Amino acid sequence: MDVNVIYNVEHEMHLGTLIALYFYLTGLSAGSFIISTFAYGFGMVKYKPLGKIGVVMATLLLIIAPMILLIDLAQPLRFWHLILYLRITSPITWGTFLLTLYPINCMIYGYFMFKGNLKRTKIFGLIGIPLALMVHGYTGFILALGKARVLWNTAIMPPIFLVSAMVSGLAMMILVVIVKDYFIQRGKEHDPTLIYGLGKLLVVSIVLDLILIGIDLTVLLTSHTEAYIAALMLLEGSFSHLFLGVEVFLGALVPLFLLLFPLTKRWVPGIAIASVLTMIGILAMRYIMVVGGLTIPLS
Amino acid sequence: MAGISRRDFIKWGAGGVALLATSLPSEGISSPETRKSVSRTTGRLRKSIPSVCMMCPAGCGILGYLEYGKVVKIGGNPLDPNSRGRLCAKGIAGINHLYNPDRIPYPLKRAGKRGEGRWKKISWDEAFREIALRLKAIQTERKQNDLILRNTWDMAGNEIAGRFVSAFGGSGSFQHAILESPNGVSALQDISGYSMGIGDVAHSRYILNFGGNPYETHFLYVPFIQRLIDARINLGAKLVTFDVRISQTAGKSDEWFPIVPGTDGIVILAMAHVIANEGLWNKGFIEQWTTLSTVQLLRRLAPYTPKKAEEVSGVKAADIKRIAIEFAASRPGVAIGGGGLLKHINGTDNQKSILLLNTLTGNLDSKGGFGFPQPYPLVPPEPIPLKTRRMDPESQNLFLRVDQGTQNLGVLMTHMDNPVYKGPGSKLISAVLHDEKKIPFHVSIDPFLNETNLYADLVLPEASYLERWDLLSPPSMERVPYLALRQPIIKPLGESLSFSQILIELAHRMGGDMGKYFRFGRIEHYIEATINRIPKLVDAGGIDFLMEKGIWIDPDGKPTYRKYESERLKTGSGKFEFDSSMPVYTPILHHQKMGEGEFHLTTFQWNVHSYSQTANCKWLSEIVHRNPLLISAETAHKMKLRNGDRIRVSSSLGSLVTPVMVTQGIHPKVVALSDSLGRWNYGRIARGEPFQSEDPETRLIWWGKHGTGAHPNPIIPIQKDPAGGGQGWMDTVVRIEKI
Amino acid sequence: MKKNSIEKKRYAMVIDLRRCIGCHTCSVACKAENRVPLGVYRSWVKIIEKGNYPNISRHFLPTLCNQCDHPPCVINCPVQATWKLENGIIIIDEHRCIGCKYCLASCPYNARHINPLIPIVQKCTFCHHRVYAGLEPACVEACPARARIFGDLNNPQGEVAKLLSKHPFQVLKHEMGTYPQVYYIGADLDAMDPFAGRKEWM
Ligand SMILES: Nc1nc2c(c(=O)[nH]1)N[C@H]1C(S)=C(S)[C@@H](COP(=O)(O)OP(=O)(O)OC[C@H]3O[C@@H](n4cnc5c(=O)[nH]c(N)nc54)[C@H](O)[C@@H]3O)O[C@H]1N2
Ligand SMILES: Nc1nc2c(c(=O)[nH]1)N[C@H]1C(S)=C(S)[C@@H](COP(=O)(O)OP(=O)(O)OC[C@H]3O[C@@H](n4cnc5c(=O)[nH]c(N)nc54)[C@H](O)[C@@H]3O)O[C@H]1N2
Ligand code: SF4
Ligand code: SF4
Ligand code: SF4
Ligand code: SF4
Ligand code: SF4
Ligand SMILES: [Mo]
Repeated sequence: MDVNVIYNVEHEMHLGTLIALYFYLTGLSAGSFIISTFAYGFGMVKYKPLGKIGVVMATLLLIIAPMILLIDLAQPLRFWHLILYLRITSPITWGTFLLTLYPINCMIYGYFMFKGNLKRTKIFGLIGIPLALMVHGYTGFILALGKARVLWNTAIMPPIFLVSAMVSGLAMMILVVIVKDYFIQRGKEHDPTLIYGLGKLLVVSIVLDLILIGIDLTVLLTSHTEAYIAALMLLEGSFSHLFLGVEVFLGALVPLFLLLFPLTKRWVPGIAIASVLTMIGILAMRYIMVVGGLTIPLS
Repeated sequence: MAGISRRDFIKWGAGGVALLATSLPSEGISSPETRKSVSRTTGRLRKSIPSVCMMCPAGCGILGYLEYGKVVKIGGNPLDPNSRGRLCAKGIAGINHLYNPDRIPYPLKRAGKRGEGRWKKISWDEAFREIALRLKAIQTERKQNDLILRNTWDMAGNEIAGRFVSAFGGSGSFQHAILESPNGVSALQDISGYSMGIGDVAHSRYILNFGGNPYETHFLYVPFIQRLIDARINLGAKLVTFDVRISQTAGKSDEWFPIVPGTDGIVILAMAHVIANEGLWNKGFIEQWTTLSTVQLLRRLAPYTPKKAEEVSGVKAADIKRIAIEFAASRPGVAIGGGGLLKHINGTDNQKSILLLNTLTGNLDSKGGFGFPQPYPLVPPEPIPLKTRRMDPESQNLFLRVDQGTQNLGVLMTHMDNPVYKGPGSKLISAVLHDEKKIPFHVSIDPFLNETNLYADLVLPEASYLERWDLLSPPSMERVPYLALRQPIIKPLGESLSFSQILIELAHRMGGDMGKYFRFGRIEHYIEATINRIPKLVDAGGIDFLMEKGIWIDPDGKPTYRKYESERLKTGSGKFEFDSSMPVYTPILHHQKMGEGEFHLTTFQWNVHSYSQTANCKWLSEIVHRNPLLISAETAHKMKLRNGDRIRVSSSLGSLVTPVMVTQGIHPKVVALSDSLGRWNYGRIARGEPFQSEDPETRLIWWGKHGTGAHPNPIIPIQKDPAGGGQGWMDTVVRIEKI
Repeated sequence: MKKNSIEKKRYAMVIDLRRCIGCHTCSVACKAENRVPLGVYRSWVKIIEKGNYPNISRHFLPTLCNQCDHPPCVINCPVQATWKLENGIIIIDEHRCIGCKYCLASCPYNARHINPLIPIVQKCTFCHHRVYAGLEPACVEACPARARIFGDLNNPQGEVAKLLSKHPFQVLKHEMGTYPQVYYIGADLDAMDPFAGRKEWM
């Protein structure tokens, strides 16, 4: 039986690229913070060179990210309402606290690291880990608790966000190390094992990320109709190029290949390419989640 | 009822509504007390002034709410017995007309060549002087008949327009659209002597609708539909619709029958045939109140067998029979018709057939049947000049006659009239209007520049209907005649003046004999004088009462049925005359020769638009701004057309290009295009362009990029029903091709 | 009624689609009453056509904020700028709202919008300012077919309660658990389904 919509209104989409970018940057920040704690929190000496870069990146990113959020507010000058009138059921309120505590902790942690006070660095590093996880996890909750949107409303959203944060954070660290070693400190002798090590970690997180995406898709495909339609939107609909092409193929499969194939896995430019692609892939993922999620019609 | 005090009357007035309401089986109507408006910021009650809507012919009572001297909202007047305080989208959006940034602020005189669209500002004094000069010129040549004054469908201005023309000494005042079509009026008059007929749907149990679309249009839209719905819900009335496409009415009817355009007549007559042959008719009524005997009727209906009707109309004989029997069995029932019935060149007979069907079941002027509501008789103040032809079906063809040289035209005055847009053969009309030899002088009275006054020499800015005085008596659904006062809710904006006031001023400028017919000076005095001739109303408070309430219901009026029993019908015999006016079905000739690839072009109205009036209302055009051609899924499949594909539609007059909308809901031989959109000269909102103005919202106009439609009238030829003189709007044959 | 009577008011709307004529009067009345700018809507009427020639019908679905009893928009607002009144109406404090638009994303019914002229979030409030003054909402008052009926659900004599006790009714997206306070009589499933008839999503 034919159904023909004679009249309906189109609703403007009010959240978009800026929010996706915000999610991306908090993810990067969380990722780099955790990597920086490998050495200073858990004493993995191998990762020591990443400690300082990590904390600087984490702090910088976390200063930019909330600014994007602020720009996106229709009433940015009222941001202080967030503290005055908070409502505890809203994940944005959780974010308010996390976005205040986390950068402060980052700065203290960084301060002691640069001071060389290893003990205190370790303490604040360890405090920072759950904070970093939560900072990024809460963005996952923002989507997960948007129960109107079938693509968002899943308990797996926070873990997906965390793992993808690790993916993009690691990729960024690899690039930072490569830039530091091969461009800034050119000529000096350096040891690529750190890069190889990070590459291995990247492989693990990409695989984990793919598994989570696979789980998410499986549930979407086998759940109710609206979920099925959302899955189809990713697999063959308007977001399929971005999802299958950019996020999965370029952003995960190609990097995996580069990082595992015997001829390329020790080849630093190859690793660099893999990292860049991974970062693009995760950016695409954020965009697909936010914008794709809002594209599905409600009325 | 002499001596009734004004207080008593007010009580009655309010009680009257409640009284009428209880005659409905269930569900109350909110009391006038809840019909108010409060300021959103202060919560204070807003001041309101009652008036009458003019966004369509229904004339619903409105309340204009004011805040700081601005009209902030239009609501319904609960005292209005017809609309009962309800409105439609157009009525509420009337405010978009009032504060439209494209309103003409002052009199305009043509600056360039005719039709170039260049104007210069002039003063009213200069404007009046120029018109008077022109008028005097034809007066001295004794060519008074060369003045043609074309007035709108709105009944209110007709008397004054007629008065002006006859005082001038001419005979050419036209009301260019006689509610619906002259076909309907002519059929009604021939048979019943009445000129207005409406289904008393509030009390019907069976509503048989041929080519009407009361869910979206109908000339008494809001008053009519609310009663029809009440009957459906509370009485379980069945609604059966014959339409060539799925209108909202058809889509919500219990049954919809697609029909070949222009063939309703034979289906109705076949139903009459069935009812007669099955003996389901009201024999007594027919013998007593019509000029035909049942025997004669049977004979005259003999050729219209359901089988024959099926061949012509495509409606199955079995369905015709079934519906006819159902209709005759469910009493009271009423058969109604609409534009789809009347706007054909056999429309007069179609309307007669509807009357016949109602006659057979005895449902004429009966409760739940087909009624004849009459307006309250109004007597204008003396002296009254000799009457002219006020209504002239020939108005449709004025421009054709001018073109052929059978009609002289010296001065053309148009009021709220847009023949270039809403007329058939509108290219011819614009050519005639363009030609200064054919139309030496053209004055348009209108609040907006439109497709027609593009060719005017003078454009006078008219007050909108929210800024002027009129006294009306709309046909009453409750069968008690009433008066409604249209009064200014605010002073006319800019330099605009009302139509009546313009004529009055002009008459005074003309001097001589003319002035004496317009001694009252201002239109409100004229209305007051008219009111003062109604003692009952004077007792109630006269014009003050009307200014306060907006509505006056004749306190002695009783909703009587079967008036023909007490009051002789105004026909020769005093009966319903079917012997001289027996309907026949005449096939539309040029439809018989249609080949493969040719389609009937039907036009229709969107529920939120009124013909050429509303495309410049932001709230309405935001909802409907596109005007795709409706085309059947079957045709689309054959022609490989998909939604949004563009096609060329050509008739004998020319062609237009428009996107299509593919639907299952249309007869495969029909394509349909609405006639309310596709404007080429009606301001920026109608074009869907965002722009800066005093209204901050005009920069938010967003729909232009979706297209603003194509208009069918340039390709609809002038074709006339020889019987009633109405235009065959729905009779055009077109070819379509994908481009 | 006494102000502190035990029975609280619970305002609700019934949209009787057996009556609705799909005329958009409610949408325009709402724009007029609440100065809703072009491009955004507190109320709109979806219209669908279904079936195959010649068996076809039309269905209308006027939509507005459902004044949910369990409103995701309220739960998710970080600054308590939107909340449920005693009488069930969900309102927005336009001075407190920071415009994060999270409520827009959270509402399953597209009922909220950003005002394009003054950047704040708005939606239907059952015309709270009118209800407060003892009047009916603007769309209810205007509806020519009397398809919209407004009143106190807790008043057993009220028309809302009567209609709902007599007729089967529907709410939009029942599965969301939002407990809408806009009740439909005679709603068509295809009209309620956001995907029906949208070829791009099939
Ligand atoms: N919204 C709105 N309301 C209006 C107006 C308006 O412009 N807009 N205009 C007012 C005026 S002036 C008038 S005259 C009335 C007109 O209102 P109606 O009397 O309702 O007439 P139309 O809308 O012209 O046509 C009604 C239907 O006839 C169908 N039709 C076409 N050809 C045929 C046919 O051969 N047979 C049958 N059975 N059906 C056919 C069309 O598809 C259409 O749906 O409306 C008044 N009310
Ligand atoms: N194709 C097709 N064409 C048709 C029909 C059809 O069914 N099909 N139907 C025909 C019928 S039944 C009718 S009644 C006619 C109606 O056609 P018209 O009588 O032309 O239509 P209106 O829309 O009433 O408006 C005429 C003009 O009035 C002006 N106007 C608006 N408000 C005011 C005001 O307050 N004062 C003044 N002075 N002017 C104002 C506007 O400029 C508008 O262009 O159309 C006819 N045309
Ligand atoms: S039906 Fe609508 S447009 Fe016509 S008079 Fe009534 S309110 Fe005005
Ligand atoms: S105003 Fe009433 S009848 Fe018209 S669309 Fe809205 S709910 Fe339906
Ligand atoms: S409909 Fe949407 S905006 Fe309204 S209360 Fe429910 S969730 Fe909130
Ligand atoms: S936009 Fe305003 S009302 Fe909505 S969630 Fe944000 S602060 Fe609350
Ligand atoms: S209740 Fe008021 S705000 Fe809500 S849709 Fe109706 S008119 Fe608009
Ligand atoms: Mo008309």
